[in-house]
Amino acid sequence: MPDRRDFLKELGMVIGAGMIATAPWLDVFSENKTQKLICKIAVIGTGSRGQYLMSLLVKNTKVQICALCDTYQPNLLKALELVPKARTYIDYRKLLDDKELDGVVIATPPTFHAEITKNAFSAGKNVFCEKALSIHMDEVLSMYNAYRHSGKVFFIGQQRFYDPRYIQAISMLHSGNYGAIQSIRMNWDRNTDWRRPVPSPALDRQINWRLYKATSRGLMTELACHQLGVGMWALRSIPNRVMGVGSLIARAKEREVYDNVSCIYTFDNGVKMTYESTNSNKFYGVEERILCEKATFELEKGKFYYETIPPASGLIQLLHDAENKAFNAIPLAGSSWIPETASQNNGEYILKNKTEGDGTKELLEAYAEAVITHRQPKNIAEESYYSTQLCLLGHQAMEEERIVEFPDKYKINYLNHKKLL
Amino acid sequence: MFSKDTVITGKQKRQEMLLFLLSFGVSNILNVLAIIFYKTPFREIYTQMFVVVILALVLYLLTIAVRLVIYFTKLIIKKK
Repeated sequence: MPDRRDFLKELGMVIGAGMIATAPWLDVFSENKTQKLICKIAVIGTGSRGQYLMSLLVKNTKVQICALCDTYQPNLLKALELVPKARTYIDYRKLLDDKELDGVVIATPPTFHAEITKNAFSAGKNVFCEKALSIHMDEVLSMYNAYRHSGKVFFIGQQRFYDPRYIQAISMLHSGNYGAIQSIRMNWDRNTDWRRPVPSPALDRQINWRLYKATSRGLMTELACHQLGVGMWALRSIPNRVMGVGSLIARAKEREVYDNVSCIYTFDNGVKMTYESTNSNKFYGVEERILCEKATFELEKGKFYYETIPPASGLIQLLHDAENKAFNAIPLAGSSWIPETASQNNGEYILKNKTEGDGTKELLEAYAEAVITHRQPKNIAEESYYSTQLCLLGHQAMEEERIVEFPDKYKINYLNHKKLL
Repeated sequence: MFSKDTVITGKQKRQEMLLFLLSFGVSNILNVLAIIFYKTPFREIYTQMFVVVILALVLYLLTIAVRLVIYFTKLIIKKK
């Protein structure tokens, strides 16, 4: 496993003071070699997401998955195929009693995150908890406070913070070379009902928890939570106001949560961050667009576009003009042999090298490093805390059909927020 | 290398080399003039070197084409 320098170099990123300022959590990759050290981890919640995380964890030579926990036997058995020697539990409390474990990875539905996380901290374990932290804002705050009191490592499943495209893009934005951010526009559109087959109707709410209001905030916690944090990260500010509209259109018979959401978050400097998502049309896919004075960034595509396209070189322009003058008088068919002058804005890639994955692998590697070195990376918990709170606030605005101000009681000391004493 | 007689004489090789260098020189001058006329950055003197080389090749091939035309015209006139 590489150290930090190798890690960043592999990702094709330019290492510099600016990069660490943009993403201070990268500092988790210690300069000290940790290649021969191992952390012992348990996975609580071995459904599809848990199994995906495990598929990455098993490839990390610094991680040993010692235990698994799930109340749904088929998921537990499937996960056991990845780590046949792991101990299995149905009750996570018994798992937490295991003194051998350094940390846990929690991939249960969000309604269980708060209880398991807080108990894990109480048991002296480091925690990686999938997003969203919870579906209730007060629980999110209680989880954050538990982390702060525990002295343990706390990671949340927000992989964009470790995605090289995003790190490089945000570093470019923070450089100021592209002008001030004017607007942020995000969307995530899919055409899927989210419904999974269940062996018995009695298990529907357990397995299809995403579809019901008691256990999910739908598009906001499942998708928006990933993206809203990026806007905050880019602007280095937390929006204090949100309005929104949610509706159930195409999937009204299949679920309780919205299948169509639209929110506008307002930052103190007037910049708006709009968020839209639907479950019944996938044409526009997923994108985060950050519009600056001099350029526009599309982070999912990994590209940016200058507002003013630089003209072709003087020599190309000269040859073009000469060709036009020479051949305009002669009726010849066929296309020009001279390269076209720029007429389309195709943009430029944010990263020279193509990267694989979406940052989840790097995020898990960072978690392992943090557990081994007992060092919580700077700001990552706070960024993730607000990612969840913002998506829940947006949901509240849609439910109450009004402009909602960010409540003082949920503010922590971070960026433009101050904790209420 | 260019003075040794092979299939083409050393003198001809030097002549062709000079012609190509002349074409390259003309291309560079055109590049500089284009930079001034179209007000593009002066760093194009080296960033557009690839285009300059291509243009030099084209100009050199044009000199070959012109000389071939002159040669065959002279040949036809002589035969007549």
